[in-house]
Amino acid sequence: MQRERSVKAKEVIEALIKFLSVLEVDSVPCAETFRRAKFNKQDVVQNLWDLLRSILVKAVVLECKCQHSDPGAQARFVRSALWHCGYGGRWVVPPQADGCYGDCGVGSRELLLAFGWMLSSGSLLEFLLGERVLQMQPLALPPAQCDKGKESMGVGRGSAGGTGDLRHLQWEYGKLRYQWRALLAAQDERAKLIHKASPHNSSSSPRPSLVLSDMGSQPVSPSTEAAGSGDASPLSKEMEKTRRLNQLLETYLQWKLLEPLFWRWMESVIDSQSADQCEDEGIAPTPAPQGPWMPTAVQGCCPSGDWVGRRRQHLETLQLQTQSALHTTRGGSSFRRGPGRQRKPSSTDPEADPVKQLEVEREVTSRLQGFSAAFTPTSIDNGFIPCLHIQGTPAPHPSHKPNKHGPYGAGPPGKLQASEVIQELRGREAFLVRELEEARWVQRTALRDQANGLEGVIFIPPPKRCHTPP
Amino acid sequence: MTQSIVVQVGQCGNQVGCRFWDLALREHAHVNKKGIYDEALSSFFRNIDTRKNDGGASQITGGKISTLKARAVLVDMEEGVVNEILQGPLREVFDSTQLITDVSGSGNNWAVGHWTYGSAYRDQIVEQVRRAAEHCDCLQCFFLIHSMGGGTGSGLGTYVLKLLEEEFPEVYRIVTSVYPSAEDDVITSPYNSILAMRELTEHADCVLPVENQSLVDIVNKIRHMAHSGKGVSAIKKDCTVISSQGGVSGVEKPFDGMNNIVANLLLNITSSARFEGSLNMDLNEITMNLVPFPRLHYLVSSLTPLYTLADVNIPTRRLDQMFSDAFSKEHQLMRADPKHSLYLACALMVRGNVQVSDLRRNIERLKPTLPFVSWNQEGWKTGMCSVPPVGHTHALLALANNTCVRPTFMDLRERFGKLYRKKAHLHHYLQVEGMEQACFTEALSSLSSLIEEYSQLDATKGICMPDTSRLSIAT
Amino acid sequence: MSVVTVQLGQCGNQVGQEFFNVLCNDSSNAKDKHYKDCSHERFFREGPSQDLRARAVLIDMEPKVISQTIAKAVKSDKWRYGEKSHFCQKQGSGNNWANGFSVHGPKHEEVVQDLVRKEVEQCDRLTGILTMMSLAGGTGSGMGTYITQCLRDTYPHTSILNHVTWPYNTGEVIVQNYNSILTLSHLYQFSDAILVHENDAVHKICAQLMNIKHISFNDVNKVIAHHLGSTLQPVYSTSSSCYSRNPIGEFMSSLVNHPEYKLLSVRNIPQMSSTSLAYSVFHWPSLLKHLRQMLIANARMEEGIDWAVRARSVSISDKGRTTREPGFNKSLANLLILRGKDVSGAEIGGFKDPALYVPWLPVESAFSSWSSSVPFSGYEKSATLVSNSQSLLAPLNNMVGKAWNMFASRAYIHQYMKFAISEEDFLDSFTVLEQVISSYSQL
Repeated sequence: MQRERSVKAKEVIEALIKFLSVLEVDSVPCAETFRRAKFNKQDVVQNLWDLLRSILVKAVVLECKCQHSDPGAQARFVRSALWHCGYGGRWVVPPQADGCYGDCGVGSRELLLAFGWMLSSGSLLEFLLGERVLQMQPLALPPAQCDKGKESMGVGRGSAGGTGDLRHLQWEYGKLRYQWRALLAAQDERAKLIHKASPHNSSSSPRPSLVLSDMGSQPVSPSTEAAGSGDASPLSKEMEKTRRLNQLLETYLQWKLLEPLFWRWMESVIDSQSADQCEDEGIAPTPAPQGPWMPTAVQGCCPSGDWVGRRRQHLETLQLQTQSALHTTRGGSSFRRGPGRQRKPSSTDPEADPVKQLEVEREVTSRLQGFSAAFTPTSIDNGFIPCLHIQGTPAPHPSHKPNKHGPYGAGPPGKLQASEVIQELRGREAFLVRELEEARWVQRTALRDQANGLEGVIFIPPPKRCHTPP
Repeated sequence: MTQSIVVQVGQCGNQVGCRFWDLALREHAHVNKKGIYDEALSSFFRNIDTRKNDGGASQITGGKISTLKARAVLVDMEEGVVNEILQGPLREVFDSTQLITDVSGSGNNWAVGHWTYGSAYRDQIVEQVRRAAEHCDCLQCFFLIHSMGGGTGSGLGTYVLKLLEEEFPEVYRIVTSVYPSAEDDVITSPYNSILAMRELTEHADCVLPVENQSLVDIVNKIRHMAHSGKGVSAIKKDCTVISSQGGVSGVEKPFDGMNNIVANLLLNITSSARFEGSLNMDLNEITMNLVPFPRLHYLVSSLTPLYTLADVNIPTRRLDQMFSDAFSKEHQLMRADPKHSLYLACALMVRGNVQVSDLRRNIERLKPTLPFVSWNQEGWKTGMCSVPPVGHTHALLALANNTCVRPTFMDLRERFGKLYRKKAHLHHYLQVEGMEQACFTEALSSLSSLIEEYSQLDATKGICMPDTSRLSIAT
Repeated sequence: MSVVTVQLGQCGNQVGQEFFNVLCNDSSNAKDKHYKDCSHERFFREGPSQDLRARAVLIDMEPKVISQTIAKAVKSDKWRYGEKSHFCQKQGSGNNWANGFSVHGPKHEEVVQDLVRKEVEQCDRLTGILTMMSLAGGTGSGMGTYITQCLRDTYPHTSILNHVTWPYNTGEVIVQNYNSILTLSHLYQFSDAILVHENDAVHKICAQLMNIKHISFNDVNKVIAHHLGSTLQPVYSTSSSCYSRNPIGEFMSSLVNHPEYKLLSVRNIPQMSSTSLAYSVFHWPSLLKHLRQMLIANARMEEGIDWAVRARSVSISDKGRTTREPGFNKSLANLLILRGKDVSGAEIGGFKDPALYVPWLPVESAFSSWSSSVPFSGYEKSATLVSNSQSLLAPLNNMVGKAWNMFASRAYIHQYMKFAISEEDFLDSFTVLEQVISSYSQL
């Protein structure tokens, strides 16, 4: 039984690996790596760093300056990228203002969990799939190849003579016909696969599915038709592309089929992680997760199938994070300062400076707003990792200066009661909403006054909103 | 699965038919041990539940056998034979509604049978046949059994044949005609035969002519073997084509041996359509393969082995012997020598434990000894049925479209000529309404042209015919 | 990338059943999981209880063979046919091509199309349709021809491979030559390729290579199924690193690009009884040497090859005139399929000899080779050669000659006229086939 399960797990992971490799993610490790990571083996740490790096690079479409050869830079990049994605694992939280991480080694299991978190948080794979499909659109076929093809035909003609010439042409024509047929069949298959894949997509993120259906409705690119009159080579290239696309879709479907098993396996990883931590810290294992990144809600369900659950998880994570940030800002006494911070003037007690406190609070709220915006479906249009759009930064470039946000993220995971946090957050929200509406009111008044001052302009106010202050 | 209806006309037809039903029941009982009404049974029998009063509607296959009814129509213008059947053990398989009888007989007069009784019983016959046809799921074939010499069989029999063609043009008509011996005690038998021949030539899909004399010879031969045989060559008890053993009729009657041969012919010809096999041969394949020209549809048949020896340890040689015998003069159901005439086509229908390699080996072996018409040098049709006849491990039925039928026909024509020149008994025919002198001349010329067609083909025997020049492709 | 098989008539159904048996046995014994999966996806779908269901449609005009075929498949306990993927009627076509083509075909077209469509819909991708039938009978040949035409109309972009069983030279059906020429001439216009197995040749293989004493149709069908399996089981096509996703299409574009040349024959080596197989060791050089000579000397099996025949299209006699090498079987295109141990090391240069081929087609177009390291059906090494060559020229010429002879005397024509096939139709068929003969002769 046990063995059977492990065989199953291997199959699942292999499906995932296959999918990642057809997505052209670099440095995809073998299934064994995952297994070893589950048991926190040190020898696979580097593989997982590589994997995380290449996925993050792909996901946030960043130019990673770090090289394979520089593990330090790579780790920094991964940490900061994860941090910006909202991952709250202990090891990614920059403990100091200068961005130096404690040099305590990160276990492979931690990395694996981070990987799991990335898959579970949002539609990473669907996003990557969409990107890849876009890249592979069989649109860009240089028509110049046709001429080239004709030339090569000419060579063949020269070598044969008399009636052989005609028969050779007939032969080549026949060959073209079969290739054309094969292409049609492949297109057909693609349409079918896209049809199958789209329900998986639309449930988590509308964008890639949009891309997919665009593709499906596109019959055959005009360049292909042009190619048909010339030589087989553009046709076969086209064929190859379609084929690869189909393979991609197929592996995706295969993965989707096995995904629930993957999450079950990840659960077992979490279990072993919590067990280990209990041993380490000598605390009795609690059903609550050890890190903020993997709440209990994940148990036994396919994350992609449970959108709401996943969102809730994420929000909970964020709450905890925010809470710890609040902790930092408010109760400075309980905050264990790192060595870097100690160099800063100690007089700047946040509590003593109301201006600063206000500023901090505002930042927190704005960040909260960002979170809530991130978790409304529409915002997902912009990519799989909503956290990147916090604060409305159009082109996030967070990688190497994570310490900018240090104060809010630093600190150990909170141990506050969730209800407290929620209450706190609700209060904040109400306050902010009021503030927003006030600002809007002010703006509108100003606008009206301005408009009234202009001749020939009549100001028509927008429809009343319920929150309009009196 | 298709079904066939047997129409037995006249004394001879009904006696042969009776033997057929008896042996058919024996065969199915032998194969079908579970008593299930299966597809094979359905081809000749209906299964009806007599307890239900639903007008005898046939049951679908797959259920238990309750009461089997033969798909048959029995016609005779005397009551003797039919009454005998109704009092005998076979009465269960026939309904009184399947019988059409009269009391006075045809007086060995084709014209009486054909015209007088034909018009009198036409509606009744059509009605009976139609009812039988309605009980069929997919009616494929009519088997008409009759004799050529008498009045009812030949006269009314050929009338029924015409009726069948009119009413059921899509259904195949295979006729088993028993030809009289030269020493037939019916003086008008040449008239009757020639008049019937014309109808057969024009309205049958194929005719299996059987000569009385050949049947007598075969029966005698088997009896002789049975009594003289000793040691290894002893005949296994009751494993002959003339045996009735195992059938429901206990007592053997004088002609049963001869009639059993014909009944076995019909059983074997339909075996591949009824039972499974690695190379099925459906009834409609018989005419397709063996009748190259519509009128030349007289097929000479032979049944081998005539008996099975008690010793079973000499299989291969005996198997080959079976094939050789099928072409020998002694085994033909007509007094004819196919080996020295011209084959237009030949079908081999094997039953039992015979493989395709046995078939091929024997065809290759026999082919050089048999003259085939130039355009059909490979004119072999084969069928393989896995179920052997009762009491045998294997059996072979050979059907040949061969010009060797010609002497029998010529002989008949000669006997006819002798009578006709003297106008003997002619008035008995001409006084029948519908009968004219022209009937005789037309029947005669029909037979003559048939003979002529066979003669022309026979004349090509042994002559190396050049291949017809083929279409050429301009290059 | 699935293939839908349509089995027609007694022969088609019997061969088809053996074919799926071979496929299923081979792939379930294969150790390579990809091979197995690929083969299963190609020819089978999953039934309601995860069992294998052949992607096949069974057609016959009479019920006996179909029920036998279905029962045999069930008995194998490894695979079966789809619950509702067969169609039969009560009465056969009676060896009459015209009956199958003009009556049964049009009458049952809709039902058959429906069955095929249902099977096609269960494929993620259809790579081709394989029809199986005999040339001799009535249902397979006549209705098979009609159905092929219909399938061509319905699936204009799908490759259709017609597998036909060529009757014994004598003794199956008397009108077999008529039925065959009508079938071949029609198929030539609608099919993409006609893969031929001659009963006579296969029978010899059974007798001499397989050492079977009492050869049954089962044995013959098994050899045919073995050939077909070794051709159509998954294999890496040239320069590809995964199992072909378009096997039938690639098969076609390697062999039958020219519309005048569509007749394919198959040679397979080694073949022997399972008892001899256990004691045999094979070497690629010897296998391929034999196979090459089988090709050029037009031998169907490794025994009795004429080693004197050389691959030379034209030889100059002493008088300076060019003559054809006697007995040499010239190829238009060949497809070599190698399976088993050390395939990568097999030297296939012998098949790239330009002397084997016509001058107007470069060798790289004329020759393709596929390979798979998975051994086929228990043979440690085996090679299959599908060739579009002159090897069927003689049998075809012989068959057309006999049919023409019979036609000249108008024998049996009335049987066809009953079902609306006229003398003109016959003449058209003769014309088409004489053209084919002429094309192949001029290779």
